[in-house]
Amino acid sequence: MSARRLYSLLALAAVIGACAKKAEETAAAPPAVDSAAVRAAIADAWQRWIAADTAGNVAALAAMWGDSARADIRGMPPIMGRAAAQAAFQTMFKDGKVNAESVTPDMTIPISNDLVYQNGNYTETVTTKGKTATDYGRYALALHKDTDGQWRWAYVMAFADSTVPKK
Amino acid sequence: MRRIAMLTLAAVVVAAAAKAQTGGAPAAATVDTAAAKAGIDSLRTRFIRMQLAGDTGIVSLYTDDATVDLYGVPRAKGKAAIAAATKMDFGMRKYTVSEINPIATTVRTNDAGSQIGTYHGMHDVKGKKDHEWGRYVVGFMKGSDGNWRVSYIMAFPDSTKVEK
Repeated sequence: MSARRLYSLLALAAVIGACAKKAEETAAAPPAVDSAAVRAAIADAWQRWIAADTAGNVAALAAMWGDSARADIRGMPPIMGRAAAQAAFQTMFKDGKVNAESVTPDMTIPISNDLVYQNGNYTETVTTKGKTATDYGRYALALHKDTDGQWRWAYVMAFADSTVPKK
Repeated sequence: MRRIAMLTLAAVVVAAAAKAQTGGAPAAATVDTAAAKAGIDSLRTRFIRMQLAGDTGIVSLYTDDATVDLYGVPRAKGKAAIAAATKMDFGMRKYTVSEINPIATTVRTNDAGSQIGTYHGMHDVKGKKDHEWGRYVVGFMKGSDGNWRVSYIMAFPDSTKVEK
């Protein structure tokens, strides 16, 4: 239930704000959104995230974090930017190991070909100092595609869900 | 369950707010960011007012298919579920202070936006006062009636304090 763990999970990223380009000026007609491709991208991102998280691969996790991504995780101060995220990952893996992790999306909304929103549920089983526990929680996340073509967390909010009993 | 309400307002998420553009590509309209932010600000003002009044009509400030993810209560999807949760919350405590402080507001189109921020609420719970501080993310949509509504919200309390 530790907040730190959540963090891990989360992964999500960006915020709202951040990822969104302000469309203040009149824009050219936007391209059609390839929803299938965007959904496939976020599913792939989650797979890579979970693989990195369960491997304790800080570098891989940080690489999936947007430069200006923000995370609001219950029990932790806001995490702003990749450097802060990497430091948080390092701290987390120093004390524990993520044994298993899964996400179950509730809604996935492709906003454009380089921005998608999602909310859902997660579970994470972590061993910390010899004790193993499973967190159940919810998340909201924004993922965006950077200029290098890589999808990264732009914003994420998450909390362990007190309404689901631990077994 | 108490938590719920408080949170209130929050707003974004992610999602909802956004209408996916799945079709072809019509010409993009100019986005009037100032007008959208004014509409969203107005929504926040009404939300606070109704919360302080314990007005269950506050559900009208959500879209029909809104989703609410608040710490401590099950996910509520749709107005009926949100109305039930709101009624329970308002029945359990009276809001004496409701502050919603946006950190960042993003206007994506003339009818969709999102926001992150913090909130503070103070309640009277059967004679005891408590405070709750938290964070939120909200998605907004503007309806055909011109009113902005909450389409998604996730929020959680950072800390609470009970006054004796």
